[in-house]
Amino acid sequence: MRIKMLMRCTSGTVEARESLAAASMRLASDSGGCLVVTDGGRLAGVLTPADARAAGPSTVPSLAVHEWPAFTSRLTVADAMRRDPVVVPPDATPGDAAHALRTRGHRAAVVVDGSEVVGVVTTTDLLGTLVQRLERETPPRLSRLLVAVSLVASTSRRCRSRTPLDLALGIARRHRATLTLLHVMRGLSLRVAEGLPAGVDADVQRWRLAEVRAALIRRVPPEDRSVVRVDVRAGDVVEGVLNGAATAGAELIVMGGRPGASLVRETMRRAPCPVLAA
Amino acid sequence: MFRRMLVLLDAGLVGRRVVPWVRRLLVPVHGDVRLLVVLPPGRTVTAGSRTLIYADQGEDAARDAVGVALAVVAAQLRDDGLAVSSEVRFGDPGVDALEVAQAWGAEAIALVDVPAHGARRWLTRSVADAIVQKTPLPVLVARASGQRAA
Repeated sequence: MRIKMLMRCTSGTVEARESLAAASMRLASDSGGCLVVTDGGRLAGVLTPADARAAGPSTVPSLAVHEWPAFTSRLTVADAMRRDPVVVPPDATPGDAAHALRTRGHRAAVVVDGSEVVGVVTTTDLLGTLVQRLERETPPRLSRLLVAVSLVASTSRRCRSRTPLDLALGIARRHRATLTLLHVMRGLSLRVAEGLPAGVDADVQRWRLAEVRAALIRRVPPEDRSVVRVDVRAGDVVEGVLNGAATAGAELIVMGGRPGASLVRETMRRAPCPVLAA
Repeated sequence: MFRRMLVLLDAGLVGRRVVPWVRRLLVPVHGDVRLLVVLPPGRTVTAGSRTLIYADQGEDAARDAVGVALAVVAAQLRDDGLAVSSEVRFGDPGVDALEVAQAWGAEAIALVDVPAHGARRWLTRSVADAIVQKTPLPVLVARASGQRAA
């Protein structure tokens, strides 16, 4: 991999004496880009969105009121740019560019072929290469799954041979992931709760939670119990699944239930990660 | 654990958001992926008595345009060691996806749920809803936005 395969076009070239506000507008229209700054046709620096922001008005309102708009509007590119930019040839390796940027504390390097600017490479571009390399060395895996199970429906109506739990256990085994087994049960009905003496309803609820937890653990094959965590919640099912997924940091929710059921649909719409409807 | 997954994409390839998740699920099992794009059927465009574009010409142009984007997605997945094939169809995505899944022997379907807005949300059913309701296969559904990246 060489820089010429990684570099991007510059967002353009600006003169050092141009207004910073105008340069910022150009940067805003090109996500992740940066401007090459010249002074009399000579490479003078590089301007990234972060440099432009740092030179602009404070983002803290109580400080910004003391800044004179007339002063900030008079700022030029030369006031904000990184002078003496990191320059790399197109045949440099990403490692060379990363090393130079890290040593100098810059965010973007200018790619120069002879005396011509042919592109720029930013720390984000270099991070992308690093991520690709890491993923190639270690194949991507899921590390945390959540399966929402019902105690009533022991088998999925859709995948008759497999329950959502079977499917989730299969994925967890293959990916060596941890699996959170979640059941959300509704609270005691008002009629039942009101008929119980004070304090007993809480005991009943605790007993129910313990019973459900034990029933869920019985469903997991003994060899898988070390990677399964059981989470039993009371309340609204969709909220319970979403909160359970957030708590577990789940990367995938496996969910059974009636095809097209509103619970599955609602979970799909609001889930922080993809949902596998099984 | 499934190995053969049908990935339903759209013309704008918003559905590409599900591809990283497919990759994460299938790379450890050296899976098999079929990329499917179902476009609306072409229409003959006329101006007065003159025919500007015939339906099949429009479909060919659309097929070529999507084919280029599909090839990029397919190449990325092949780099990860997955077996990839792709297909472009014209029709109803909800119906065609199920047909292809059955004919190809898919073990799961992956797609992105693009929710409708306004009144359409209540009047029409999304493609994801239609597929989840009808298919006996597991369906991996990612959202078009607001969800963690793979």
